[in-house]
Amino acid sequence: MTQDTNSKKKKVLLGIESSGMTCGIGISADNRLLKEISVNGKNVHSEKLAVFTESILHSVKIEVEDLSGIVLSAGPGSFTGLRIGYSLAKGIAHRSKIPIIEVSTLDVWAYQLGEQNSQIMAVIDAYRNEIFYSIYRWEQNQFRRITDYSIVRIEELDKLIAERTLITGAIPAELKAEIGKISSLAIFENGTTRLSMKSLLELGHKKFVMGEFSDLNDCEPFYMRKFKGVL
Amino acid sequence: MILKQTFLKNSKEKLTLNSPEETASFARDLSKQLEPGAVVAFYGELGSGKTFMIKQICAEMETIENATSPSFTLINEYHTPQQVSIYHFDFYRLKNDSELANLGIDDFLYGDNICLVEWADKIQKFLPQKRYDIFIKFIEDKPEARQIEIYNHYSQ
Repeated sequence: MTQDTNSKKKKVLLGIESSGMTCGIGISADNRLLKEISVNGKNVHSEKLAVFTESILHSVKIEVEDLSGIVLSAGPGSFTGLRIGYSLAKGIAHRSKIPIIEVSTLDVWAYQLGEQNSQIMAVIDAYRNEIFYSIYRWEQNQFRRITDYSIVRIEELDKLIAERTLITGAIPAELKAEIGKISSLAIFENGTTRLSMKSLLELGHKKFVMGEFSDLNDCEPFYMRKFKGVL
Repeated sequence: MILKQTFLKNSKEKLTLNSPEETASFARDLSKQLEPGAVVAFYGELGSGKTFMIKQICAEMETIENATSPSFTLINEYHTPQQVSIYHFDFYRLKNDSELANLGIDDFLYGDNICLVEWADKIQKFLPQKRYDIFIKFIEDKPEARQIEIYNHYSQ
């Protein structure tokens, strides 16, 4: 090392997003984003994620040994993408003996919009006319999740949206149209198509400071959907 | 052409295929309808010709690999010269839907690939609404012939 000889004392976090279209790596020191590399694309995570990690560490002149923790976008999302992210995170965490901090991908989608007057619903396509969702609100400058992480059928969405609600997340155009038909109170946030590494790392930093670490051996992606039935 | 030109507009079509050659011809016609993202679900008893039909589709699409039955592996992947991946599933031996979880089934069925699914009745609740359903039935006293029913859920 390196550019910053104090980074061992700093809280240096590596963020990994592979739950959906965004394939991203970011790095922060003491809650300040140093750099991020991300692209949107299907089936690129297996090729790019490790390369991005190496590249970003190299460019900010930080060694793997200098990392304090790894912040994982935990899903829900793509089964394959999440497994790639978890494999990479666990490999680095084992090697460097650092903790993994899991952050719900829904939380990141909502948080990255910044403070809003209306409530925010983060949505990820669960297919088969269902969505994964959670609802958030900013109260006295604090970002709060006000519902559980859940799955709902699209036709039942109007029961959840009783007031003007800003909808964000990984929402294909077709799904957006369906939601729009169900609820006139759903307002779509159209500017964001990529999960923000800065927001992932900020949420991860909060959990890191609180010591909310995941068990390295047991942690697994937050798929939400249960597969248990015998066929 | 065995599959009628109007097929794309129809939601249902019934055909009698009198020989393996006609079945092959039908599969070639069908392959022309398949774009990236397409899902084709095949239903039929053992030996009814599901794998045969898929082999014909892959041959028509000039896959680099030869299609073979993935009875034990659950899934085979083939590639076309146009860089489209074709996933060939055989769920005959599927016992529990946790196996589907470990396969990451949604990533396949809702991706940009072509999915050809044998024994689709085993994963009915996981199939996307937009798909082709193809039912293949034996015809009594005509071992070479097959009755085919096609449901085009893309047209709905």
